[in-house]
Amino acid sequence: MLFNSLQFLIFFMVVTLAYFQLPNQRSRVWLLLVASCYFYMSFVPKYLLILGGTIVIDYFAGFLIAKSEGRPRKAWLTMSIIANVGVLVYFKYFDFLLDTVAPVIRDLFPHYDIPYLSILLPIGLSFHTFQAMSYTIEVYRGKQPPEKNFVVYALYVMFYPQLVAGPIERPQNILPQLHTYQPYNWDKVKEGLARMLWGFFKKVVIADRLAIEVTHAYNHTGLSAWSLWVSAIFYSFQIYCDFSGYSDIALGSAKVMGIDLMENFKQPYLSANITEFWTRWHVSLSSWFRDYLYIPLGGNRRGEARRRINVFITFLLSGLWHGANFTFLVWGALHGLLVTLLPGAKSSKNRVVSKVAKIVLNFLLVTICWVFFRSPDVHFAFRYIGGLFNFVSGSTTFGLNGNELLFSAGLIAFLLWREFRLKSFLIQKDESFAFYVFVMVVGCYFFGVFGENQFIYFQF
Amino acid sequence: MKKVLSYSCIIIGLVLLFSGTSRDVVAYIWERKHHQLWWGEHQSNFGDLSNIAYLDDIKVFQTPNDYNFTPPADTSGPKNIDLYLFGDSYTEDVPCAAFAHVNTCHFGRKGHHDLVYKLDKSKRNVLLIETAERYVRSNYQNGDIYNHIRKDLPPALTLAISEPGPVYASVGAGLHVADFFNPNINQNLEYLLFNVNAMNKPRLLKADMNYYLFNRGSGDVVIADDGRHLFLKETVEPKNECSSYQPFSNEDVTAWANNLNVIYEHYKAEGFDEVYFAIVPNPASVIQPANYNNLIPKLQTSPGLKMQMVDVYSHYKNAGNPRQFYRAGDTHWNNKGMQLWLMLVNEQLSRQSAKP
Repeated sequence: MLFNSLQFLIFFMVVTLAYFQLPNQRSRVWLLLVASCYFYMSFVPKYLLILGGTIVIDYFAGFLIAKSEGRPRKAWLTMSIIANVGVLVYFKYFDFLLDTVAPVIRDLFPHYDIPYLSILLPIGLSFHTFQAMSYTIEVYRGKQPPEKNFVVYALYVMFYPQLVAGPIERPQNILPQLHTYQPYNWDKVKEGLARMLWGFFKKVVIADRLAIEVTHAYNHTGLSAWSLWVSAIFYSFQIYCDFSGYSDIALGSAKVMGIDLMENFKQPYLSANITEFWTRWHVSLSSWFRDYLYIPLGGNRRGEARRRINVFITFLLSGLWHGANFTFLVWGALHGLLVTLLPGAKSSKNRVVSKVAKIVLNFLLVTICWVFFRSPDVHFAFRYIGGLFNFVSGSTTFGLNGNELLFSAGLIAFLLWREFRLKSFLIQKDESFAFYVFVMVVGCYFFGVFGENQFIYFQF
Repeated sequence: MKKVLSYSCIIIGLVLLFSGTSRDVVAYIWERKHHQLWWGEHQSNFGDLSNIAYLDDIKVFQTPNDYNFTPPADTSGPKNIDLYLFGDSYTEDVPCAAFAHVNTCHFGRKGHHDLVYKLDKSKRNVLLIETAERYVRSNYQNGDIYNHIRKDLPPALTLAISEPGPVYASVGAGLHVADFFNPNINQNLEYLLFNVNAMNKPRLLKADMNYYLFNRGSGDVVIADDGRHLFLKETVEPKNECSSYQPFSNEDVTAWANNLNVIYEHYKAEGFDEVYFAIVPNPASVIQPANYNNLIPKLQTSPGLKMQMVDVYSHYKNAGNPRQFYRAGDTHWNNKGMQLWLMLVNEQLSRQSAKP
């Protein structure tokens, strides 16, 4: 079930209204769990069994970890992590690994039929696997007691707003909220709905419009540098509006029910360097990698050289987390190199450069890195990047006409203004909230590009 | 009052979710709306693409349905052919009288009604398989055809749908979990909630705005580069297997030709005197041929192809103005395009009729 679908709008209305009609938290948790199962099953029903299996394993692992000390404690955690990572590797990386070694196998055994799985990836697998792992790790670290109520734990993993594309939550934030009865609060409902509407607007009006131009550029060869730059920049905003739009809808729909999820985006394109960018982009993932990979690797506690290696490893694995393709690996490696090699925010070397110039330069670096993220293979990405700097040849054509290119540029300007100067006064009064809703609904309807375009991050 | 309102909305929402999933409910409502009962539905006079994209107001796409079926030129000779035509929306309205030397006609269409044959050996039995180019790869490469063109035996399962409508769930015998998760639920909900006459004006307004400001169709419809024709989006997306622009290898062509040969030999062995395969080109293939993948010519000239092809593509392509064969706001051919196809088919039927 896509957020930008009629099915979701009706589903959300039914679940939210029923939620507020229920008299106690126990029944609400059951309602949300059943609703989340329906939400997940609307993609591929049988994959609920996989998710259910890992939930059962982690639920019991939590108890076993909490009861044990020393080696057994570590062993139970390891078992839980192996179960989670095993599912992830099997479904997401098995074919990729086979593909990587396939040339060698074909050389050695020319008639051997390589056993590719060729199965559909369970949607949002990387997200809910990481969320489940953060639970057992936190229990192991003694920062979170094991959750006794199985239904509450299952809902922690499956809570539908963040089930398939995050934010990747921590148990300390969500579990207490799932135990607390949230009374109906009109201000929170308004805030949540307003945020959802803004998320819809970003997705259907901005991201899906920019996608037309981006798809054109990635489906055509021989385009000029001008065309390629426009599309590359549009892709930066497309992926931002797509993913942060999803997060807005997720945070908004949880907020309506009185539940606060963690912020995932903090105007990342206003960052002055790559390090800062990663404190503003997909915050729930970057903080997950920081807490559960970078710091256990030693963080910055073992000298500067080791710190840089740790950063690079973290970004490399972060790239691999996004997808089983060398493009994501290169994308992660590039960010790792940029973070480790470029001067950070505290460096004095860049004082002469103005803040705006730094933001623009950083944005362009991020934009070039996104080319790997969007390309079907590494070779294509290098060819695209080569085209960005080939100002001699190529045809200047676009997937959008002149009016729509200008309109898209205007939407990007509006996006930056709206997010930079987010004004809550818009929804403080009921009249202004009604006006805001009207404008957003009309805007989404008349300027939305509809066609069931999936969210980019669903594939991860 | 708030409680009553809440429960009412919950019930309406649940009914909608169920209706969008249920094949029977959608079929029932579609039947009503399609005949302009209840809330009605949008129906453009200028073609299915104009209808989908709500581009009724745009003059350049306003080409009316001009089909005019006339008896074939060659009426001499006996009517000694039993024609079995397995076609699609291009040929479903072509009457038996339009075919030469035909004694009886039998029509089948995938997803609607199967073509069931019981051959009369005193007649010449001809099987004509007509397909739109966009379905060549999906419908004729996996053996599925044998379920739809089959001997007169009791079918294991048939889906009888009288007319094309919104997309239904495939409900087989018994009820399965998957039946509650109809992948087409959003198209069905969109149809139930918004394809009503009361919503036509804002939808037309949005379509006009997209056209005049952005030169774009909406949803599944794309405007041709010359601005004078509409295309189904899936026929121009390079990554779609329905597309005229999706590249393929020579090995692919050989494999597809081999599959057609298997189909040909199967029905010849079943007793058909001849089997013909007619591919109607996607409008994009002939109107906007710059990056055409040449699926039809490559398939038709594939070495070793035994299947008898009715080559309408070459005639369309070599005509001075290929646009003359298609309706501007429709996926289908116009009367001229259909008559040319009929002429080519009737030439083959005349040859068959003359055989001893």
